[in-house]
Amino acid sequence: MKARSEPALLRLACWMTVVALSLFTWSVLDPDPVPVMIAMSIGQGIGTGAFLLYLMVIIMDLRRAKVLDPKRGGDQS
Amino acid sequence: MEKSTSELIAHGAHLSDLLVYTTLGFALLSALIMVWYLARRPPLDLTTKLALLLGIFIFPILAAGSGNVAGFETTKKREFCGGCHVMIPYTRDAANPKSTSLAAIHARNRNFGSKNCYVCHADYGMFGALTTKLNGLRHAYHYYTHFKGVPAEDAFGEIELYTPYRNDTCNQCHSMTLPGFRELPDHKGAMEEIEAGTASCVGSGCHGPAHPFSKVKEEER
Repeated sequence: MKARSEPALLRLACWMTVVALSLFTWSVLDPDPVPVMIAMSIGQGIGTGAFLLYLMVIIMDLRRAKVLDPKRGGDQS
Repeated sequence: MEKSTSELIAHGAHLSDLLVYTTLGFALLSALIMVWYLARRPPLDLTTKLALLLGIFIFPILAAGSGNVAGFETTKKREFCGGCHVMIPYTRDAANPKSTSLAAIHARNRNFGSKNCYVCHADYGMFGALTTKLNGLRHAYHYYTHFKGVPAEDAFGEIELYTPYRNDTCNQCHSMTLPGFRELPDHKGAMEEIEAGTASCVGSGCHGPAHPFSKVKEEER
């Protein structure tokens, strides 16, 4: 995946976080069965997905900067 | 010193308010970072990465953590069970101070209080909380696929537990090992069945039915 896709992935992660947090906010302000179940299942899933996207971008960035290069680790030893 | 019922209720209300404010606070902090990133689109330098770590991971996980605890606490409340209209007669009876049903008597006990549905119907055991929540999802499935359009009075005949009520649940408070329990003639005569769970504490003729409408289905048969 190219470096130029990283900002787009991060923007997607941000929107997913906003959606997940909105679901949680809805569930605490209106604690009925439907919002609570949606927040604790779909909200949780979307939030985890957002974090995984962020993690993916960070790993891509570190690999490009050769921080996660296996050869680099070998040279140091 | 023992706390009074009103003190316990006030403590519970204070805790749930705190959880709600914590969830809203962390959600707001995270949302501010998200808006900042989406509006400004800064370069992906160390500051941006750290800000996004806070906005996408740290603050949301704290909001979700407190939100989940608030959610779990909410699911234990009688009002939550009454969120499905077919349960309203049950929750109304439990909350009625004049009712003499087993559920209402227990609801007036401060150890049950507004969580009386959960305390009596939660599974007992190591994974009890988990199996209870899974059963709750099953309740929701049945409600939205069948009971949602059924008037509450018509649902009495159809609502029943998935499995017979377990005596273990009663035994959390009412010990079967006490002499006062074992020596009671009715208990003595049925001790084997009680211990095996084939005779239910809440069965008709024993201490049940727990709700005034529980046995409509059986009586109609």
